[in-house]
Amino acid sequence: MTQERDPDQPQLARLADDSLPAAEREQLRLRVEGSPPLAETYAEQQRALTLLRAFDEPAPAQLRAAVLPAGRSQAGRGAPAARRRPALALRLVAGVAL
Amino acid sequence: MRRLEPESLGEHLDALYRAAWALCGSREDAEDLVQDTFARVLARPRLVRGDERAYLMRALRNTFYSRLRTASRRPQTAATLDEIQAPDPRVTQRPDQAIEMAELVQTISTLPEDFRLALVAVDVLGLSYAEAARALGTLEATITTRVYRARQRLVRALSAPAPTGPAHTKERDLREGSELERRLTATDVTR
Repeated sequence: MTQERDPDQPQLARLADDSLPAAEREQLRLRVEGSPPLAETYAEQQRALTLLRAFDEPAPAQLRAAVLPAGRSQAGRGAPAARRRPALALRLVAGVAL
Repeated sequence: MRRLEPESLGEHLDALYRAAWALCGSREDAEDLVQDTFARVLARPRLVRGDERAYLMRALRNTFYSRLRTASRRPQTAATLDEIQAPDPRVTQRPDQAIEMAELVQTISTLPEDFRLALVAVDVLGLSYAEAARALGTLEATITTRVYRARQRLVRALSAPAPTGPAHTKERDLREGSELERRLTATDVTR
């Protein structure tokens, strides 16, 4: 079981994503190496990051076409014609007309 | 302080879509949320101080909240068979990856809201902790703690054994074929 109240624990998030200043990073890394509970918690942070970094789904073509004027001509070809809602541009034009 | 150019929004669309998907837990709600967010942002000229993506995260969060408020006021009705949509055809191209992705997003969407927003801001949108703190109106130390807790809960939820019983058969089947499980096991140096 990990130490739930260790004040260093939240910093493990930043150690894992490499956003700690160098001096703090080295200090914390030494602590992690000397503490199995901290090492276990650090490994969890790394696993989460691995999963989240693999989440690289691009926006669907029809969404790009709907919200971006420049993308409309490119993404419009071959994109599903039916959307559950009118395209953003259409709604904006309708709003102006009203 | 500079003006937000509509042309520059395209650079952020993929990341915003992923953020919206993680917030909502469904692709279709995410598409609607992004459309609404862009409609609001583009409705009038905007002046942005600091990072554009942090500004868009703030807009996405505000739109997310206002959609929740609207939905809570709307009378609840049961869907008819005609309204139920077929599974997204995009997920059939790489079934293992789609299950993995869907499982990840589903788990993120069940995290407590503060944790989810912090995780989305830092790990999905790629904001710095300071930018995320500004976007979400809180302290950098608070964001650090929330990201830490969110990642911890995420990994533990995904590592938990599947519930047994007939009601959970589908979820169990999904997990059994999931590349995610294999990856978690492979990187688990502590067991």
